[in-house]
Amino acid sequence: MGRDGAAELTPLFRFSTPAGLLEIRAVAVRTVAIKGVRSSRYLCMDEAGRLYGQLRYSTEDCSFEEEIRPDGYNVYKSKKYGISVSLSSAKQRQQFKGKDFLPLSHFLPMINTVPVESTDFGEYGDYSQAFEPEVYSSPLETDSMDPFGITSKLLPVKSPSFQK
Amino acid sequence: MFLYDAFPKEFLWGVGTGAFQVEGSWRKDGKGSSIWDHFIHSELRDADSTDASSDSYTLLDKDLSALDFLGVTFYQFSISWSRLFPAGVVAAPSEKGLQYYNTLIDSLLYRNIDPVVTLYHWDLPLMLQEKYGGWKNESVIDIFNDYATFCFQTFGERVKYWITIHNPYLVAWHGYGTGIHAPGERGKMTTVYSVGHNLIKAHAKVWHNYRKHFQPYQKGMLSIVLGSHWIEPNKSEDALDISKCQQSMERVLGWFAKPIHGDGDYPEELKNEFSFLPRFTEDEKNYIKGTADFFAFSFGPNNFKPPNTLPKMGQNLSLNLREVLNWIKLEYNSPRILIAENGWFTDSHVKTDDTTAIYMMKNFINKVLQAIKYDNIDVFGYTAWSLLDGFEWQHAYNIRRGLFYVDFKSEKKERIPKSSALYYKQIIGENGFFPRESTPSLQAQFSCDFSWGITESVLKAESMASSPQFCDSSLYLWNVTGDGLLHKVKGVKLKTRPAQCTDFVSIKKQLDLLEKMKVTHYRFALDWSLILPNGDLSVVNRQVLRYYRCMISEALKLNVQSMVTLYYPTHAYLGLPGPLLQAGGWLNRSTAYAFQDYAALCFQEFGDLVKLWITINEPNRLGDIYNRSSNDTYWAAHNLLIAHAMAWKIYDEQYRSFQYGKVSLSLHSDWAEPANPYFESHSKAANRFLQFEIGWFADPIFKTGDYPATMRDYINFKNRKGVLYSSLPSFTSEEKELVKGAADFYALNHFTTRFVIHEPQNGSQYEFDRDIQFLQDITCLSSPSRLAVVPWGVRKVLRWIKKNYGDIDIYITANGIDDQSLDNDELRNYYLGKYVQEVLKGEYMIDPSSPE
Repeated sequence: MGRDGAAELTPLFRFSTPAGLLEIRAVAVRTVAIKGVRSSRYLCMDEAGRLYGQLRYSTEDCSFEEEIRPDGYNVYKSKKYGISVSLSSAKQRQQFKGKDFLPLSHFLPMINTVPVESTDFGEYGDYSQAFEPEVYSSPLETDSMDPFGITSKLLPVKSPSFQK
Repeated sequence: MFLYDAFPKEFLWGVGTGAFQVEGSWRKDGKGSSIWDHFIHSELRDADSTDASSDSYTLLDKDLSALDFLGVTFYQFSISWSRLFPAGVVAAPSEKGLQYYNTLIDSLLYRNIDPVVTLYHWDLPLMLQEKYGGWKNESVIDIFNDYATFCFQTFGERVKYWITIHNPYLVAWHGYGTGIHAPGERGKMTTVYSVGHNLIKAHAKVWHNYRKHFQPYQKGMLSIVLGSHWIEPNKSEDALDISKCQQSMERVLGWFAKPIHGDGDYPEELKNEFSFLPRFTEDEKNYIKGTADFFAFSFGPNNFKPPNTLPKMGQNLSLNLREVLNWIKLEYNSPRILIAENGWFTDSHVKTDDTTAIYMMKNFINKVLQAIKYDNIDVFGYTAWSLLDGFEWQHAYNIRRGLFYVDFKSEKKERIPKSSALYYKQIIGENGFFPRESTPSLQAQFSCDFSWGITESVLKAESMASSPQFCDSSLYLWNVTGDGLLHKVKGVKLKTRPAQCTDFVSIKKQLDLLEKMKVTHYRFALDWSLILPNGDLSVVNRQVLRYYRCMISEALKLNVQSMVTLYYPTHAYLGLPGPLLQAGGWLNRSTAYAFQDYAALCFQEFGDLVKLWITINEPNRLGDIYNRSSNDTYWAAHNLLIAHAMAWKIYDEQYRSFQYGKVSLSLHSDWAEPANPYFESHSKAANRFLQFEIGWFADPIFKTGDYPATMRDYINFKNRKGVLYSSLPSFTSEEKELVKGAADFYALNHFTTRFVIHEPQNGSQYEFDRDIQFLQDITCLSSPSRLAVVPWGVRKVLRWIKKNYGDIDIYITANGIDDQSLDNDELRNYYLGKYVQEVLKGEYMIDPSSPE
């Protein structure tokens, strides 16, 4: 996902580079938010099934239903539009119309091994604002006693001089 | 950014409850049924337990002690209408019920606690529901007004703050729309809005009644508690998104607030959307307009649940209390505001260790402070919700909202303060937020021999001198044909001069920067795999050695001393010579022997110029690479310790006598703070974290020659429990002797402070062994990579090192923060200023350490 919010049609292997690293986080039962780590953007879908990245999480457009296929791969379907996330081009989609699954729509989530670099926040200017959106733009879990998710993850201890 | 400041002197601190949530005794002393009594016995499965609840009706003294404990200035409670008038209609009041509220009010006043009294917190007398259909029927308005009159007459001399109705939105919406609240009607939208209409009229009538007949001599104030969510646009600049947010707020808060606090009528948005919306006549508008002496606002989970019943309009829910206060200020002409309900909840299994609640409270109350200080919003009081665990409406007893824990099944139902009670008590005591960890800033100088440096990771060596003009023997002509190119003159050979260090372009660049910084020390790392590609001494890359020597000697000409790191692994680049990596890397003891040879070579080559050596940078992070199991991690660490100690020993025995340098290793030493300062398990967890992180390497070297007892004991304890199958290696007596004392100073890389929670974990990786979970304090300034900026943490870690390892020289070998701004790196500027200040304080208060 690029900074301009355009979700590129990236060959799958690119997802093992920092630029293509996606963070998948559960927001409800069987529902996930997918976030580009480098671009800090949530993956969202419009009604035509086109993917785009957005800084702010929107429950409707950026929630995906996770389905684990018998082959161990996952398929992600937009909650709102029911279209699955696919990295195929418009032409490929056309060819596969009516088939069960679009090409390049199967994913294999893994524990991250790619060193995650911090994201650029210079473009948002004023830093007194810049450190807050992270908290307020994450999906707010109003049904949880920890709506900001301040305790939800077991993060490894990181050192900036080791995780370069 | 978090605001450390005090609230205005007159600020009111309170806590609240609703009668039905805490009183219990629903049939005692002739109490009449309310719609909620009926509702839970017919609709909610948890009905049995609701009969008991926290029993405030019989345990008043315990409630009063709890209020005393907090030190609040007011208590917001509600009167159970059917406890006073079992049938709802005003007649002879129930003596026992009357006595209860009289005693409650008198006891509060005796304690200097102001009563803030709510007349209606959702428990309508059942008779009024059955006879009239409840709030659907306009005749309930007059009956409510009679009940209010009685309360003013009876309690009004003693009560200065009155609330007519608590959160009418929820009454209308969930009582008559979704049906999740009593009376549980799943009605039409028309019903919902006519109920709202009647609630507004009822409130207005009671306000006029009080205004006319009681206020002149009782001198109190009266309002209605309005609740709301907050919502923010998907795209902050998008006009359509912004207008949708506005609509969302108008549908919930505006529905009641605009008639009462605004112009007497419903928001246009609402009128346009719903043709069936009841209309106010002009007279009614004038009658309703301005019927509140202050704005009483409720912001809590009830207005966020269930999410699918909220008008989200495709936008994002938010818990930013400061923003919604700003909206109220702008919409309703800067009213005085009482936060009449605020807080979050915990799951029912959470007892007194409600750590998340502390951070929710910290965030909410600080937002209120910011609204007062930055936005000039006139908030005059705050009600934490709630005093006690109790009945939580549609959630029954599945969530808890009390500052005090109540075990509903217990005999005595003691009110036990939770962490949030202790925290709230502290905020009230300090009337705000006092930066307890920071001390006044210190204006002083570091000692003369203090070393100021800058650090670099592995310095990429140029293998060739990169200025060809000095090593190319050809002669060239330039620009003969006007093409700007060089043309070699054939057959001419010039004499080149001998190679010089300044031929390396990168060194020159580096030196320019060092000169600008005016540092006394420069820390960089050598590339082991480049110097010894085979891992042993069979091949030594002399070119690379020459480059590094040039760097060191040229820096010395600028009076900058080099601190050289021999081995600097990172997550992305392990930095081991290939053959060693293939032989198992640090899991293989032979890597330690190879390191010893490599270190000796470096001492021999550069030791005449280098007086400060770091063998290994952050060996305590290498566990992230050898993480197949904690056994792997511990063995890799063991070999790293041995490798370091052997290198130190070689230096000590063979080079120190004539090179006079010092050798140590840099440990990643971040600070850990208990996430919940009121729980011993958290302090123990913080200490355990430091032992597993720092003591793991520092204890063998600086203290005992063995791993920390805390660490061994904890791993053994988990082994015995059968949840862990790894163990720490043992040191042989030779190893012990080798390792103990094998460092000449303490070197630390410090970046942040982590807030830790004790949380039992099972898993094969070593992160799980210490049973720690982190908490991210969202009110704390942090970097883009989420490192918290906690300047006092560095002072604490320095103190801890001194306490544990005695009076040794300390070098901070890395400190800083990620800030990706291209030129104006404000965050880094702030960070360095604050952290250096804390080190200076440490210097003066602790010891003559000499950090770099």
